[in-house]
Amino acid sequence: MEFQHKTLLKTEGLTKRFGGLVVMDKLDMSVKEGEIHGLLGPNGAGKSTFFNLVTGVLKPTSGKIIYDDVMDITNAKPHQVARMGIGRTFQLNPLFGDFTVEENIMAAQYLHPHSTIPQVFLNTKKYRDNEKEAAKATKDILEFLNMTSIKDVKAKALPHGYQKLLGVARALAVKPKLLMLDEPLGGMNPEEIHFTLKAIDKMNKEIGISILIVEHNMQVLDICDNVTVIAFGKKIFDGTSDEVRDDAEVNRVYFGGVEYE
Amino acid sequence: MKYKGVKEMMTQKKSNRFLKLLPYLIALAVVIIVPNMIGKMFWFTVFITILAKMIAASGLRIVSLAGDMSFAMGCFMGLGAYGAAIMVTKWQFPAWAAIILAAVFAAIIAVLTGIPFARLRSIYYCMTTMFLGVFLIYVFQSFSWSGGNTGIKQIPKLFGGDVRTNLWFFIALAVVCIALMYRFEHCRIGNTLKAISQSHEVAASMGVNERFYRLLAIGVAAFFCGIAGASFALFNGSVVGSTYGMTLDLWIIMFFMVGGKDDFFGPIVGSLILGVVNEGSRSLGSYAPYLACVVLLLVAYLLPGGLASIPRTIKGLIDNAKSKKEA
Repeated sequence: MEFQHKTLLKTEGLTKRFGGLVVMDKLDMSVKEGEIHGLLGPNGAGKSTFFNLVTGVLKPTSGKIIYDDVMDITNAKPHQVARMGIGRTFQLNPLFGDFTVEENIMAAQYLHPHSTIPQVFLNTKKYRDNEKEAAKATKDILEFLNMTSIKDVKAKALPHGYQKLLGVARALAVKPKLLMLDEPLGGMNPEEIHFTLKAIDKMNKEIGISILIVEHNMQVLDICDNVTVIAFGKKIFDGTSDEVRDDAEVNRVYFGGVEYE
Repeated sequence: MKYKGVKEMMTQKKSNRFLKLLPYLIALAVVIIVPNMIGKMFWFTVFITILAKMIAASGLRIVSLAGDMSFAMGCFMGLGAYGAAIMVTKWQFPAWAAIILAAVFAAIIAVLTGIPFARLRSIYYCMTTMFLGVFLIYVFQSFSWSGGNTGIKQIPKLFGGDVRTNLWFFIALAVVCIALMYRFEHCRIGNTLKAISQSHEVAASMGVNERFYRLLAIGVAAFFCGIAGASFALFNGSVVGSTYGMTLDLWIIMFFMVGGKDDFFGPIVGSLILGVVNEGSRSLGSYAPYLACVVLLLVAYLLPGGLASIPRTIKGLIDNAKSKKEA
């Protein structure tokens, strides 16, 4: 039963050292196609490092990252990873602050190469068609996430919750197969958390994007199918989201009893 | 639903002070400049110089779109100038071919040097361009086949050296170059560069090859600087290396900043006004650059958006007054 979907992202013995500090220790994990996978762990567990390793911002010390069963993306550059279909958001959520909401999403479409540079410069028919497509896709995304009413507001003037959502919308515009969300609930109030979780679930169910969520807020368990928990760079749990609540080791790490040395 | 940031409101308050000062400044400038302008052919040459630098300053804007600042624009003008001069005098190329090929030469050198340098960002990249600006022209000055220290003299002049025709040629050249650059900025390429300047991480996460786009910007900017430099060299009839040194780079950056770094027309307005102020105050002798500096300081203090932002700030003031009336 577990293997009915193919694996979208798999890491084998992924290790990252900064000098003598081991932040990621031989991590094996896999994200199956069509699921929402949670990567949980307390602060400093190596969650963001994992993100940066997969998206090519950091190079792993050893180990392999396999995408879509066949492609080895261990040494790919960030823009190459993005073009293969891995969209991501950022923990600190940098936005194109001077662009409006619409322009932010539109920019994400620009950035995916449709037309060649001469085509763009000479304003050929292909480029104009692409432009129309991009505008339509932008409209769809705005409608999908209920953001149409704020499309002309500058990104830097948005409230925090909407800025986070815009980060997600922009990652969505890259048309990813796998969407990686880095702490999408960070700094949100309960209402915003509820709203965002619903939006993420909707993306997974209606568009069929596989999603990997990095989070330390346990509320994401409500929407996750499978969960991996890491602490100090080591995997301590792998299983479904129902099992994780009862796991003794996870409870120990999260709710005390662990000796920090 | 439109919010006004604190920063914008501050700008408006400052520009209000500037607007009160403006009439006095204009009067002062006119008193100094106009007597110099009357009945002198010299002004044709001045405007040709300004137009050439205007193209270079607009080129600098392309580099700045990606968030970079470059001290090498004057040097790329120099590459164009030397290239064209050598092609015309040594290899008897026709002038139009020499101008285009020299510009391509400048662009190639810019991209080749950019490949190692564009790994760096912001101030660190800027420092490497400073090195380029000093070094590349020095290369030309140190070989005798490129004229050594005295440069290349007796280049066949454009249009037989007729200044009036040349002025028209430079006006046409500037219009064409600036139109092309306008198109470059206002299509996907320009937007991509702006996105990179705001956050290169996010841009990369969307599949943008940051280095490729930055090299493209540097190459295109150098191409237009090369065109400006080559045309000016052929108009002038001589190339002297020292004219393309750090002083020219600084002038181009001044044009760019005074005009306004956030507007496409900033470098154009800046080079026109600052160019006229500088050349017009020749009667002040060696004190002439001080007048340009006064303009630079005033703009930096009172109008951070540059001269090109005056219409925008006036519109902001009117809107403000309107909303006050309503309230």
